[in-house]
Amino acid sequence: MREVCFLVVQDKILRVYFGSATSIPDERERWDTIWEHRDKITEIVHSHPGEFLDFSREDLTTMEAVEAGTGKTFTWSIVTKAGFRSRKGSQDHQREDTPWWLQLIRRLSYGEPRTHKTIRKRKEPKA
Amino acid sequence: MNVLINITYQGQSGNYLVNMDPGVDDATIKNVCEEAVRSGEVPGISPAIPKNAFANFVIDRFHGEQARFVVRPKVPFG
Amino acid sequence: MKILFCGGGALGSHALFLARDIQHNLAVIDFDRVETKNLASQWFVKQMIGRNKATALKMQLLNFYDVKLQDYTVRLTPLNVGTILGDAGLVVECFDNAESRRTVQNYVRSKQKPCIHAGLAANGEFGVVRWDKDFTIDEEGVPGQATCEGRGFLPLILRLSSSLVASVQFYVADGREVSWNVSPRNAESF
Repeated sequence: MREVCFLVVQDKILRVYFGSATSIPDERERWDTIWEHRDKITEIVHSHPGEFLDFSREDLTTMEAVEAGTGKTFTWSIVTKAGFRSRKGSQDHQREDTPWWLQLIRRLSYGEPRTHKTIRKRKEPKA
Repeated sequence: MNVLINITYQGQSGNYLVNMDPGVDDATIKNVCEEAVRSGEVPGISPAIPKNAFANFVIDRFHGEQARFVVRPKVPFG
Repeated sequence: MKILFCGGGALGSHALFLARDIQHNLAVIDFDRVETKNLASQWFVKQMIGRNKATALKMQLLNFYDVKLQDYTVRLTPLNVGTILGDAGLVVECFDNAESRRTVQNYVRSKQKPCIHAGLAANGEFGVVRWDKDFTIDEEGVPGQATCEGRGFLPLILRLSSSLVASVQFYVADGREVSWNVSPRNAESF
Protein backbone atom coordinates (compact mmCIF):
# COMPACT_ATOMS: atom_id res chain seq x y z
CA MET A 1 0.00 0.00 0.00
CA ARG A 2 1.10 3.56 -0.59
CA GLU A 3 -0.63 6.91 -0.30
CA VAL A 4 -1.39 8.51 -3.63
CA CYS A 5 -2.59 12.04 -4.29
CA PHE A 6 -4.42 13.38 -7.34
CA LEU A 7 -4.96 17.03 -8.23
CA VAL A 8 -8.18 17.01 -10.23
CA VAL A 9 -9.51 19.57 -12.68
CA GLN A 10 -13.13 18.77 -13.57
CA ASP A 11 -12.84 15.17 -14.81
CA LYS A 12 -9.14 15.26 -15.67
CA ILE A 13 -6.20 14.39 -13.48
CA LEU A 14 -3.81 17.31 -13.45
CA ARG A 15 -1.07 15.63 -11.45
CA VAL A 16 -0.35 12.36 -9.64
CA TYR A 17 1.88 12.01 -6.59
CA PHE A 18 3.08 8.79 -4.98
CA GLY A 19 3.90 8.67 -1.31
CA SER A 20 4.90 6.05 1.21
CA ALA A 21 2.66 3.72 3.18
CA THR A 22 1.95 6.46 5.69
CA SER A 23 2.31 9.81 4.00
CA ILE A 24 2.94 11.84 0.90
CA PRO A 25 6.19 13.82 1.18
CA ASP A 26 5.86 17.55 1.32
CA GLU A 27 7.16 18.91 -1.99
CA ARG A 28 7.68 22.42 -3.20
CA GLU A 29 6.54 21.34 -6.66
CA ARG A 30 3.11 20.31 -5.39
CA TRP A 31 2.53 23.67 -3.84
CA ASP A 32 3.74 25.40 -7.03
CA THR A 33 1.34 23.30 -9.11
CA ILE A 34 -1.60 24.02 -6.82
CA TRP A 35 -0.75 27.72 -6.89
CA GLU A 36 -0.42 27.82 -10.65
CA HIS A 37 -3.71 26.01 -11.22
CA ARG A 38 -5.60 27.27 -8.17
CA ASP A 39 -8.42 28.70 -10.27
CA LYS A 40 -8.95 25.42 -12.12
CA ILE A 41 -8.42 22.71 -9.50
CA THR A 42 -11.77 21.26 -8.48
CA GLU A 43 -10.66 18.56 -6.09
CA ILE A 44 -7.59 17.34 -4.20
CA VAL A 45 -7.88 13.69 -3.30
CA HIS A 46 -5.57 11.31 -1.52
CA SER A 47 -5.71 7.75 -0.29
CA HIS A 48 -5.33 6.49 3.24
CA PRO A 49 -4.07 3.15 4.48
CA GLY A 50 -6.56 0.76 5.94
CA GLU A 51 -10.05 2.06 6.42
CA PHE A 52 -9.20 5.37 8.08
CA LEU A 53 -11.85 7.45 6.34
CA ASP A 54 -11.27 10.78 7.99
CA PHE A 55 -8.92 13.74 7.73
CA SER A 56 -5.85 13.34 9.89
CA ARG A 57 -4.31 16.15 11.91
CA GLU A 58 -1.64 16.54 9.26
CA ASP A 59 -4.28 16.59 6.50
CA LEU A 60 -6.16 19.37 8.31
CA THR A 61 -3.12 21.57 8.81
CA THR A 62 -2.12 21.09 5.17
CA MET A 63 -5.61 21.89 3.93
CA GLU A 64 -5.77 25.01 6.07
CA ALA A 65 -2.36 26.18 4.87
CA VAL A 66 -3.14 25.61 1.20
CA GLU A 67 -6.48 27.40 1.38
CA ALA A 68 -4.96 30.28 3.31
CA GLY A 69 -2.10 30.52 0.83
CA THR A 70 -4.25 30.38 -2.29
CA GLY A 71 -7.32 32.18 -1.04
CA LYS A 72 -9.37 29.33 -2.49
CA THR A 73 -11.67 26.73 -1.01
CA PHE A 74 -11.13 23.30 -2.52
CA THR A 75 -12.95 20.02 -2.29
CA TRP A 76 -10.65 17.74 -0.31
CA SER A 77 -11.28 14.00 -0.49
CA ILE A 78 -10.10 10.85 1.20
CA VAL A 79 -10.23 7.47 -0.45
CA THR A 80 -9.87 4.10 1.24
CA LYS A 81 -10.40 0.66 -0.21
CA ALA A 82 -14.10 0.83 0.47
CA GLY A 83 -14.79 4.46 1.35
CA PHE A 84 -14.86 7.91 -0.23
CA ARG A 85 -15.35 11.08 1.80
CA SER A 86 -15.08 14.76 0.98
CA ARG A 87 -14.92 18.08 2.77
CA LYS A 88 -15.55 21.55 1.40
CA GLY A 89 -15.36 24.43 3.83
CA SER A 90 -16.50 22.86 7.06
CA GLN A 91 -18.93 20.40 5.51
CA ASP A 92 -18.03 16.72 5.38
CA HIS A 93 -19.99 14.18 3.45
CA GLN A 94 -19.78 10.58 2.46
CA ARG A 95 -19.49 10.22 -1.34
CA GLU A 96 -21.62 7.75 -3.22
CA ASP A 97 -20.61 8.85 -6.72
CA THR A 98 -17.84 7.04 -8.57
CA PRO A 99 -15.72 9.39 -10.68
CA TRP A 100 -13.63 7.50 -13.22
CA TRP A 101 -10.38 8.15 -11.35
CA LEU A 102 -11.63 6.59 -8.12
CA GLN A 103 -10.76 3.12 -9.32
CA LEU A 104 -7.36 4.30 -10.57
CA ILE A 105 -6.33 5.86 -7.26
CA ARG A 106 -7.40 2.70 -5.45
CA ARG A 107 -5.43 0.50 -7.83
CA LEU A 108 -2.35 2.65 -7.52
CA SER A 109 -2.70 2.77 -3.74
CA TYR A 110 -3.68 -0.75 -2.84
CA GLY A 111 -2.40 -2.83 -5.76
CA GLU A 112 0.92 -4.49 -5.00
CA PRO A 113 3.91 -2.81 -6.71
CA ARG A 114 4.96 -5.16 -9.44
CA THR A 115 7.92 -5.71 -11.63
CA HIS A 116 7.49 -7.48 -14.91
CA LYS A 117 9.22 -10.78 -15.13
CA THR A 118 9.89 -12.18 -18.55
CA ILE A 119 8.87 -15.78 -18.67
CA ARG A 120 10.88 -17.56 -21.31
CA LYS A 121 9.47 -20.70 -22.75
CA ARG A 122 11.93 -23.49 -22.34
CA LYS A 123 12.99 -24.97 -25.65
CA GLU A 124 12.17 -28.60 -25.87
CA PRO A 125 14.97 -30.71 -27.34
CA LYS A 126 14.29 -31.93 -30.86
CA ALA A 127 13.31 -35.54 -31.15
CA MET B 1 -6.91 -4.51 -16.54
CA ASN B 2 -3.17 -5.08 -16.26
CA VAL B 3 -1.19 -2.90 -18.61
CA LEU B 4 2.50 -3.52 -19.21
CA ILE B 5 4.22 -0.16 -19.57
CA ASN B 6 7.67 -0.16 -21.10
CA ILE B 7 9.57 2.99 -20.24
CA THR B 8 12.75 4.19 -21.94
CA TYR B 9 14.71 7.12 -20.56
CA GLN B 10 18.20 8.21 -21.56
CA GLY B 11 19.20 4.78 -22.77
CA GLN B 12 17.77 2.96 -19.76
CA SER B 13 14.60 0.95 -20.02
CA GLY B 14 12.34 -0.97 -17.73
CA ASN B 15 8.88 -2.44 -17.47
CA TYR B 16 6.11 -1.48 -15.08
CA LEU B 17 2.97 -3.56 -14.71
CA VAL B 18 0.00 -1.59 -13.47
CA ASN B 19 -3.69 -2.25 -13.16
CA MET B 20 -5.44 0.57 -14.96
CA ASP B 21 -8.10 1.36 -17.50
CA PRO B 22 -6.30 1.33 -20.87
CA GLY B 23 -8.23 4.43 -21.86
CA VAL B 24 -6.43 6.67 -19.37
CA ASP B 25 -5.04 9.81 -21.01
CA ASP B 26 -1.38 10.22 -21.95
CA ALA B 27 -0.62 12.92 -19.38
CA THR B 28 -1.84 10.75 -16.50
CA ILE B 29 0.08 7.72 -17.74
CA LYS B 30 3.28 9.73 -18.01
CA ASN B 31 2.70 11.13 -14.55
CA VAL B 32 2.14 7.68 -13.06
CA CYS B 33 5.28 6.39 -14.77
CA GLU B 34 7.33 9.30 -13.45
CA GLU B 35 6.18 8.58 -9.91
CA ALA B 36 6.78 4.86 -10.34
CA VAL B 37 10.33 5.42 -11.56
CA ARG B 38 11.02 7.86 -8.77
CA SER B 39 9.71 5.35 -6.26
CA GLY B 40 12.18 2.78 -7.53
CA GLU B 41 9.48 0.52 -8.91
CA VAL B 42 10.89 0.30 -12.43
CA PRO B 43 14.03 -1.85 -12.43
CA GLY B 44 16.47 -0.72 -15.05
CA ILE B 45 15.81 2.99 -14.69
CA SER B 46 17.53 5.06 -12.07
CA PRO B 47 15.01 6.79 -9.75
CA ALA B 48 16.92 10.08 -10.06
CA ILE B 49 14.87 11.54 -12.89
CA PRO B 50 13.80 15.17 -12.99
CA LYS B 51 10.23 16.38 -12.64
CA ASN B 52 8.27 16.14 -15.85
CA ALA B 53 10.97 13.88 -17.28
CA PHE B 54 8.47 12.43 -19.74
CA ALA B 55 6.76 15.68 -20.67
CA ASN B 56 7.94 15.54 -24.30
CA PHE B 57 7.70 11.79 -24.61
CA VAL B 58 5.09 9.92 -26.60
CA ILE B 59 3.08 6.82 -25.77
CA ASP B 60 2.54 3.96 -28.19
CA ARG B 61 -0.47 1.85 -27.25
CA PHE B 62 -0.78 -1.77 -28.27
CA HIS B 63 -4.00 -3.58 -27.50
CA GLY B 64 -3.62 -7.31 -27.71
CA GLU B 65 -3.85 -10.19 -25.29
CA GLN B 66 -1.62 -8.15 -23.03
CA ALA B 67 -2.25 -4.43 -23.25
CA ARG B 68 1.10 -2.75 -23.69
CA PHE B 69 2.14 0.88 -23.65
CA VAL B 70 5.56 2.17 -24.65
CA VAL B 71 6.62 5.48 -23.10
CA ARG B 72 9.46 6.68 -25.25
CA PRO B 73 11.27 9.70 -26.63
CA LYS B 74 10.25 10.95 -30.05
CA VAL B 75 11.99 9.25 -32.96
CA PRO B 76 11.93 11.78 -35.81
CA PHE B 77 15.27 10.88 -37.35
CA GLY B 78 16.30 8.30 -39.90
CA MET C 1 8.32 -8.54 -54.86
CA LYS C 2 9.76 -5.07 -54.95
CA ILE C 3 10.94 -3.80 -51.56
CA LEU C 4 11.31 -0.03 -51.63
CA PHE C 5 13.46 1.72 -49.03
CA CYS C 6 12.43 5.32 -48.50
CA GLY C 7 15.56 7.15 -47.39
CA GLY C 8 19.21 6.23 -47.82
CA GLY C 9 20.54 7.90 -44.69
CA ALA C 10 21.82 6.33 -41.50
CA LEU C 11 19.06 3.77 -41.20
CA GLY C 12 18.32 3.23 -44.87
CA SER C 13 21.93 2.79 -46.00
CA HIS C 14 22.74 0.27 -43.27
CA ALA C 15 19.45 -1.52 -43.78
CA LEU C 16 20.26 -2.00 -47.45
CA PHE C 17 23.72 -3.29 -46.56
CA LEU C 18 22.02 -5.88 -44.34
CA ALA C 19 19.19 -6.63 -46.77
CA ARG C 20 21.48 -7.44 -49.65
CA ASP C 21 20.81 -11.16 -49.42
CA ILE C 22 17.04 -10.86 -49.51
CA GLN C 23 15.89 -12.59 -52.66
CA HIS C 24 13.58 -9.85 -53.87
CA ASN C 25 13.93 -6.70 -55.96
CA LEU C 26 15.41 -3.89 -53.93
CA ALA C 27 14.92 -0.18 -54.57
CA VAL C 28 15.73 3.04 -52.75
CA ILE C 29 14.63 6.66 -53.05
CA ASP C 30 16.69 9.60 -51.82
CA PHE C 31 17.32 12.99 -53.41
CA ASP C 32 20.21 13.96 -51.11
CA ARG C 33 23.96 13.82 -51.85
CA VAL C 34 26.69 12.12 -49.88
CA GLU C 35 28.68 14.58 -47.79
CA THR C 36 31.84 14.10 -45.81
CA LYS C 37 29.98 14.31 -42.52
CA ASN C 38 27.79 11.36 -43.59
CA LEU C 39 30.74 8.98 -43.52
CA ALA C 40 30.61 8.88 -39.72
CA SER C 41 27.18 7.33 -39.48
CA GLN C 42 25.97 6.26 -42.92
CA TRP C 43 27.09 3.39 -45.08
CA PHE C 44 29.00 5.30 -47.72
CA VAL C 45 32.63 5.15 -48.73
CA LYS C 46 34.59 8.33 -49.33
CA GLN C 47 34.68 7.74 -53.07
CA MET C 48 30.92 8.40 -53.11
CA ILE C 49 31.14 11.92 -51.71
CA GLY C 50 29.21 14.22 -53.99
CA ARG C 51 27.09 11.51 -55.54
CA ASN C 52 23.38 11.12 -55.00
CA LYS C 53 22.82 8.76 -52.07
CA ALA C 54 20.47 6.41 -53.90
CA THR C 55 22.94 6.09 -56.77
CA ALA C 56 25.84 5.67 -54.36
CA LEU C 57 24.08 2.79 -52.65
CA LYS C 58 23.31 1.24 -56.01
CA MET C 59 26.98 1.42 -56.97
CA GLN C 60 28.20 0.09 -53.64
CA LEU C 61 25.89 -2.91 -53.62
CA LEU C 62 26.72 -3.73 -57.21
CA ASN C 63 30.47 -3.26 -56.95
CA PHE C 64 30.95 -4.90 -53.57
CA TYR C 65 28.34 -7.65 -53.68
CA ASP C 66 26.97 -7.91 -57.22
CA VAL C 67 23.53 -7.01 -55.89
CA LYS C 68 21.18 -4.94 -57.99
CA LEU C 69 19.38 -1.94 -56.54
CA GLN C 70 17.00 0.38 -58.35
CA ASP C 71 17.71 4.00 -57.50
CA TYR C 72 15.24 6.89 -57.48
CA THR C 73 17.21 10.11 -57.18
CA VAL C 74 14.25 12.41 -56.65
CA ARG C 75 12.48 13.89 -53.66
CA LEU C 76 9.31 12.00 -52.79
CA THR C 77 6.24 14.24 -53.05
CA PRO C 78 2.48 13.72 -53.13
CA LEU C 79 2.73 14.14 -56.91
CA ASN C 80 5.16 11.32 -57.59
CA VAL C 81 4.46 9.00 -54.64
CA GLY C 82 2.03 6.87 -56.64
CA THR C 83 4.49 6.41 -59.46
CA ILE C 84 7.37 5.45 -57.20
CA LEU C 85 5.59 3.42 -54.52
CA GLY C 86 2.86 2.05 -56.74
CA ASP C 87 4.48 -1.25 -57.65
CA ALA C 88 6.21 -1.86 -54.33
CA GLY C 89 5.10 -4.95 -52.45
CA LEU C 90 6.62 -3.64 -49.23
CA VAL C 91 7.61 -0.10 -48.30
CA VAL C 92 10.40 0.37 -45.76
CA GLU C 93 10.28 3.96 -44.52
CA CYS C 94 13.40 5.48 -42.96
CA PHE C 95 13.07 9.15 -43.83
CA ASP C 96 14.41 11.77 -41.47
CA ASN C 97 11.62 14.32 -41.65
CA ALA C 98 7.96 14.32 -40.79
CA GLU C 99 6.77 15.74 -44.10
CA SER C 100 8.23 12.90 -46.14
CA ARG C 101 7.02 10.34 -43.61
CA ARG C 102 3.53 11.75 -43.96
CA THR C 103 3.67 11.51 -47.74
CA VAL C 104 4.51 7.83 -47.42
CA GLN C 105 1.98 7.13 -44.69
CA ASN C 106 -0.88 8.87 -46.45
CA TYR C 107 -0.19 6.89 -49.59
CA VAL C 108 0.28 3.44 -48.05
CA ARG C 109 -2.85 3.86 -45.96
CA SER C 110 -4.88 4.93 -48.95
CA LYS C 111 -3.68 1.89 -50.89
CA GLN C 112 -3.47 -0.47 -47.89
CA LYS C 113 0.09 -1.18 -48.88
CA PRO C 114 2.32 -2.97 -46.36
CA CYS C 115 4.69 -0.49 -44.80
CA ILE C 116 7.18 -0.62 -41.96
CA HIS C 117 8.76 2.46 -40.37
CA ALA C 118 11.96 3.02 -38.45
CA GLY C 119 12.93 6.08 -36.45
CA LEU C 120 15.71 7.27 -34.21
CA ALA C 121 15.54 9.55 -31.19
CA ALA C 122 17.87 12.49 -30.79
CA ASN C 123 21.27 11.67 -29.37
CA GLY C 124 20.85 8.09 -30.43
CA GLU C 125 19.23 7.11 -27.16
CA PHE C 126 16.42 5.04 -28.63
CA GLY C 127 14.90 3.73 -31.83
CA VAL C 128 11.72 2.02 -32.96
CA VAL C 129 10.62 -0.25 -35.75
CA ARG C 130 6.87 -0.13 -36.21
CA TRP C 131 4.42 -1.45 -38.72
CA ASP C 132 2.32 1.35 -40.12
CA LYS C 133 -0.84 0.67 -38.15
CA ASP C 134 1.11 1.29 -34.94
CA PHE C 135 3.23 4.20 -36.16
CA THR C 136 2.60 7.81 -35.21
CA ILE C 137 4.83 10.34 -36.92
CA ASP C 138 6.93 12.40 -34.50
CA GLU C 139 7.78 15.92 -35.55
CA GLU C 140 11.37 16.99 -35.53
CA GLY C 141 12.44 19.02 -32.54
CA VAL C 142 13.44 22.64 -32.42
CA PRO C 143 16.28 23.94 -34.59
CA GLY C 144 19.59 23.29 -32.93
CA GLN C 145 18.40 20.14 -31.22
CA ALA C 146 20.87 17.29 -31.18
CA THR C 147 20.42 14.83 -34.02
CA CYS C 148 22.07 11.50 -34.74
CA GLU C 149 24.69 12.73 -37.14
CA GLY C 150 28.29 12.60 -36.17
CA ARG C 151 30.21 10.00 -34.27
CA GLY C 152 29.18 7.57 -31.58
CA PHE C 153 25.81 6.45 -32.89
CA LEU C 154 26.81 3.53 -35.08
CA PRO C 155 26.12 0.77 -32.55
CA LEU C 156 22.53 1.89 -32.07
CA ILE C 157 22.06 2.66 -35.76
CA LEU C 158 23.24 -0.80 -36.70
CA ARG C 159 21.18 -2.47 -34.00
CA LEU C 160 18.12 -0.60 -35.21
CA SER C 161 18.86 -1.30 -38.88
CA SER C 162 19.33 -4.99 -38.22
CA SER C 163 16.05 -5.11 -36.30
CA LEU C 164 14.37 -3.39 -39.22
CA VAL C 165 15.77 -5.88 -41.72
CA ALA C 166 14.88 -8.78 -39.44
CA SER C 167 11.29 -7.56 -39.54
CA VAL C 168 11.46 -7.36 -43.32
CA GLN C 169 12.71 -10.93 -43.41
CA PHE C 170 9.95 -12.13 -41.10
CA TYR C 171 7.37 -10.45 -43.28
CA VAL C 172 8.78 -11.78 -46.52
CA ALA C 173 9.02 -15.29 -45.09
CA ASP C 174 5.55 -15.70 -43.64
CA GLY C 175 3.79 -12.37 -43.32
CA ARG C 176 4.61 -11.85 -39.63
CA GLU C 177 4.59 -8.21 -38.53
CA VAL C 178 7.19 -7.77 -35.81
CA SER C 179 7.90 -4.44 -34.15
CA TRP C 180 10.93 -3.43 -32.06
CA ASN C 181 12.06 -1.12 -29.32
CA VAL C 182 15.81 -0.60 -29.60
CA SER C 183 18.05 1.00 -27.02
CA PRO C 184 21.84 1.03 -26.62
CA ARG C 185 21.54 -1.94 -24.25
CA ASN C 186 18.67 -3.90 -25.66
CA ALA C 187 16.56 -4.76 -28.67
CA GLU C 188 13.12 -6.06 -27.78
CA SER C 189 10.68 -7.44 -30.33
CA PHE C 190 6.96 -7.79 -29.86
